[in-house]
Amino acid sequence: MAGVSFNGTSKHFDDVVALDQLDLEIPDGEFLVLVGPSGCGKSTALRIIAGLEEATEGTLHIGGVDVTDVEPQHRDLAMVFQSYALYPHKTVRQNIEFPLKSRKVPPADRRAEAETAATMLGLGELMDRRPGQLSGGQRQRVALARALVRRPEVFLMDEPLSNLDAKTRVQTRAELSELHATLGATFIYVTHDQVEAMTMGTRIAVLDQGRLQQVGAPDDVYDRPANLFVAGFIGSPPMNIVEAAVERIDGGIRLAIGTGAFDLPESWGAAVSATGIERVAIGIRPEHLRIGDGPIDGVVRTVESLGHERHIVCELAGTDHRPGDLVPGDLVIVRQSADDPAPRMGEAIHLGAEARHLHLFDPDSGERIDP
Amino acid sequence: MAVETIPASAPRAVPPTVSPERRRRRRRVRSFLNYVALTIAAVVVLTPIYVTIAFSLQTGPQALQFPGSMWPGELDLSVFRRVFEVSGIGRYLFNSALVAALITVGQVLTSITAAYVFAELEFKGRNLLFVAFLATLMVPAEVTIVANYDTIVSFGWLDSYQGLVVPFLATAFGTFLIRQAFMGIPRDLRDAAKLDGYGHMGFLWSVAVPLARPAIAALSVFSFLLAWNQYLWPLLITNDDDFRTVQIGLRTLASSNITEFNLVFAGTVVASIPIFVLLIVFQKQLVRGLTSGAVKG
Repeated sequence: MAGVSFNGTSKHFDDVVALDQLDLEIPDGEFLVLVGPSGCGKSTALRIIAGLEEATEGTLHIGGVDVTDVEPQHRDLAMVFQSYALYPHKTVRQNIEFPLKSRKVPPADRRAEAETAATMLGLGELMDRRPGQLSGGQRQRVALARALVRRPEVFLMDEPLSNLDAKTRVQTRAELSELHATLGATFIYVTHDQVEAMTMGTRIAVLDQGRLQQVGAPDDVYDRPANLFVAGFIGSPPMNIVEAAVERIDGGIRLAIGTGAFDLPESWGAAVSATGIERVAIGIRPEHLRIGDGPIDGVVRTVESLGHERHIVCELAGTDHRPGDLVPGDLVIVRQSADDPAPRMGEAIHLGAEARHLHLFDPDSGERIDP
Repeated sequence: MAVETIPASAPRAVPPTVSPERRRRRRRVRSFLNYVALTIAAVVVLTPIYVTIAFSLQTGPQALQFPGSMWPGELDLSVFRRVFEVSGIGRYLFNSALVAALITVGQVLTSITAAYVFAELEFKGRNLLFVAFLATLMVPAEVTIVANYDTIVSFGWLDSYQGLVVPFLATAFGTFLIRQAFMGIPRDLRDAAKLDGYGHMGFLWSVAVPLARPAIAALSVFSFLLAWNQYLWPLLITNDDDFRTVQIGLRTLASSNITEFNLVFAGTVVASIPIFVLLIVFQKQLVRGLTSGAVKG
């Protein structure tokens, strides 16, 4: 088994910087999820590990060995592609055996290995079918079996669930996590779906515009996002971000949002004062906003019922930044249990949250301000 | 800013409607006209074939009559045996089959390898080189025939199989056709093959060629047809009957049997049979190969 490390690794496509000075250590046996929006460099990072792209700068080590200039076939990796990349003219059996054939494994052994991998993934009945005769979920499992049969040091997965329907995706997600636990190999998984990232990864690494924004355990990234990008990207519905004016009153700090204002606890006040900023970006998760008593005034714009819960979109009073727009003010989402009484559209409400659930960021640099 | 609105009561433009009966009639007329056009095209294509077969089944004097009859005479197939006896058509057929087969295999191999280079390998000037390669399609064979003849003479390849085959071992058309097929192979398959341990040759023969089978089949049929129907080049470089191909043989047959015209037609029928068989067997691949990549599917 082997860990993977990026050391100042960059990738440029002409003038476009796809990956910018990535430093990332992935220990042996970890399930690391690279997550970020389209074009953030996550697939490029994965392709550099696979050897399908050459790094423009920096190095890559697998199992402590510098493999920056090593050909893909000599890196001892297996990759599962978004498109599954099954050979359409070969049967399931031939697809699974294909990597072993190149290693000159005797036919009998090849067959046995393929059977083992297929049994593990429940493909026993499908061995003589061609990929065109399989469902998306079955193709995905064939692609996994083809990766598995090689017993690689590192498994790479490039959005492998994105072509599956919602139900199969949930099932395959669980199967992959189980597979990781069984094999104990290093898994590096790319996705733009933060639900997959949160549920599958031992750690997640958030990328944006080729730069690593934050890396950590899913709960840590969710609870303490390092910057505004991570705060807005991780979480569904996303974290509410609202700008507030900083007012210094009697040695404390008061934050004004629209027509409302509230005092920050002392520890936060000191931290905000130290930065010397005049405005601050406040982040509050939708599940932490409460309708009822609170210092912020708002009006209910829409109420979306999801059955088990409700998303209430509110416009904050006094924040009409875009006069003339249908909704000129800042919008926030409140996540409410279906058991709570639903507000009416157009109803004036008061919003509040506990201080421990606040996240403060410098609106210019986007960096987190900790108390 | 004033906003223009359409009053709710404003009349909306109603699209013209056509009654189902009228639509059916139009469809029937269009279908009838299509069938008429196709029937005319079929008559134009099939008449020479019919005339050839009909004349081959007439007696010598019947075939020479003017105006001749369009109907076959008695069903006497002995003429087909006679054509083998009075001419060396058996040898000519063998030569044509051998030369066409060698040219086909050669063209397919060179096209596959060249197409792979143009589709998969990245090197400076690749596109320019490919355009230059394609430009050779614009040069008529007659322009290069003298230069080719000189080359073959200098190699001492007159009256030889290599003289008949080697000048035709590469084709820009075939390279283009197969390159298009290779370019339709998803990049993920190439990447997967790399990770599975296959280099260029492994990927080419294990993945790319099987996936490009329709295009390769189409090229094979085309190459064979063109090679089989060659006339000018074999006429130019062969004098010895042992190396003459069937098209030259037919010309010889026609000029040496002017009183037995039915024999010439019988020879033409015999020379056409392999091509007909080939077309019937590979019809599907031929159409699929030439239209592959034309639509996303």
